[in-house]
Amino acid sequence: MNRCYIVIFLSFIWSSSHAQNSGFCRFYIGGDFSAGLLNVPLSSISTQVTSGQTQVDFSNGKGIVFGASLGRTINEYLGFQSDVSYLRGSPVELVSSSDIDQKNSLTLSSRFYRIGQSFIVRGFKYDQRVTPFGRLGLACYFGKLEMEERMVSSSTSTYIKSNIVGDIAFGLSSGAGIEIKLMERISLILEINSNNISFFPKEIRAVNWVENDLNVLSDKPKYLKQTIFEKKLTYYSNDPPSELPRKVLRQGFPLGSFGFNLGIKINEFFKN
Amino acid sequence: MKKKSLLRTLRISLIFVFFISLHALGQGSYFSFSSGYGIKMGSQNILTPPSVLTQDEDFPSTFTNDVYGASNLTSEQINLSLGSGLNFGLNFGHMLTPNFGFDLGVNYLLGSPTKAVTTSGTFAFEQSIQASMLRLLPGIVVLGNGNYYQRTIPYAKLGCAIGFGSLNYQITEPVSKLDMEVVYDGGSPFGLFAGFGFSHKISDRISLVGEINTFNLTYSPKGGEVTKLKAEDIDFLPSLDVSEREIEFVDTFSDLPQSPTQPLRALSRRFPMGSVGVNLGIKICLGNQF
Repeated sequence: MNRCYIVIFLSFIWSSSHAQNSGFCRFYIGGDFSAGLLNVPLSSISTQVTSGQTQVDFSNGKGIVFGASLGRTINEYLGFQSDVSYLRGSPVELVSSSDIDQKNSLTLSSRFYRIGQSFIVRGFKYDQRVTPFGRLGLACYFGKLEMEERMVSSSTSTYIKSNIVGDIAFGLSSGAGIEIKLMERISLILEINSNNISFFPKEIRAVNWVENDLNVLSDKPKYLKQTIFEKKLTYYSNDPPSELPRKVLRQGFPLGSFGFNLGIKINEFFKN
Repeated sequence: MKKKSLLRTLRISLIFVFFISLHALGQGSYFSFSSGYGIKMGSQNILTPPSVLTQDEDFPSTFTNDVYGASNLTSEQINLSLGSGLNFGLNFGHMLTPNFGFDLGVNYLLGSPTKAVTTSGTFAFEQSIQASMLRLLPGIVVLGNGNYYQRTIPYAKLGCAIGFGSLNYQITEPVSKLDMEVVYDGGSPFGLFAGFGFSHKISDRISLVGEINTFNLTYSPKGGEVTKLKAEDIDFLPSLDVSEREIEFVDTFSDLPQSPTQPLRALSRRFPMGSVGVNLGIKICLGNQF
């Protein structure tokens, strides 16, 4: 239902931009760094790799971003924009432990589409070459975290790939930057931005399980292949049946970031 | 090492910006007072903070609402951010042009407590955690500034947030009259701050300000100390040895035996301090208002 509202809202923005000569669009590329780092207990996400003795603070918001925005100005100094971007996250290694016989590692990589809606404040004068701007708005993330677990010893090797998926993550996105006028309708955009968001997935599902070069995913019990996150959970003293998914308490993953965007803005985009 | 050096350089630069802002008071400068309330944003679930009581393996290791039954345990996850609560702020700023300038905020957060209750038979342990933090907020500000006669001016801010403060963690239980308090402090969180608002002129130099703001911040304290431990009206604090009273957070944990004369070693924790909130205030321009 939430997705429905978002699509309707964005359609409205698109239509209103389309109808106006004051519409603009932006295309950009950027790099995001981790912000709002946190640590996550591994017991809730992995049945195979145990915690190391070193704390790893991380955010899965780090990565490369490609995006486009569509917006309109209400007047010379105030406007709003819809933003669609894709975050290809850098892998974050949560565990890298080794002893004489065993080497374990666990990495998480984010793959998220982001939809945002921001209000923009611009410096007033259109005729100046460099115009500062700032923005603040909502951000919605759709996507998944890819988890890779590797356990290697002298005699065996295990590789498990899982997807951590869930509902939409809601947060806030803000930015400030400058527009440098290149031509009458085309400007260069430089922006610093910040995203404040957490992802609470619904489940972890193994998609690949390789032991000693053999795919053994179908042989594994559901308890090891699927984990469901629950807000409230009752534990009993006897072990749960292995044909049912493992259930754990809901776990949040930080997706906060700050980054830099470089792009092109086309003013009066819909003007003939 | 490089990261530490970079952070140090960044902090020195921010202090430099602060002094520039102060020095620049005058034409195009302003200061403002504001107060507001923030709710949690970028929330997370946390483990129970370490202390002499919570190191006990029988105590829940997660900050959750728990109900122990005859043969089961029901846990409910709590998503929290310690950045929620009241805040009071003072801002100084200087506009380099009519629509671009520097702003430095000094903001005090009086965090709302987040509670978790563990019920077992007639016992009900209540855990409560709360932050109090002074935040320095150097940043840039963009004004949608038209002309002298424009009464309502939109603005946006983006900057860094540097915190100085502590966390207060409390466990109480009414049947056994247990009352323990631990203060975690040290270290200064470093994050981001952004705001979007409007100022509305009510006179030549005075404006009302309304702002939506967001903090993207987490806090990793360096250590902690038990400041109160009472049960059945008996004060146990004087009888605690150093390892029971003090906590030291370390990045890498070793299984070396714990000495009673050394603080308790625990793996470092990060607490979410993010928020989104609304602030209202008054802005006073020192020179002519743009």
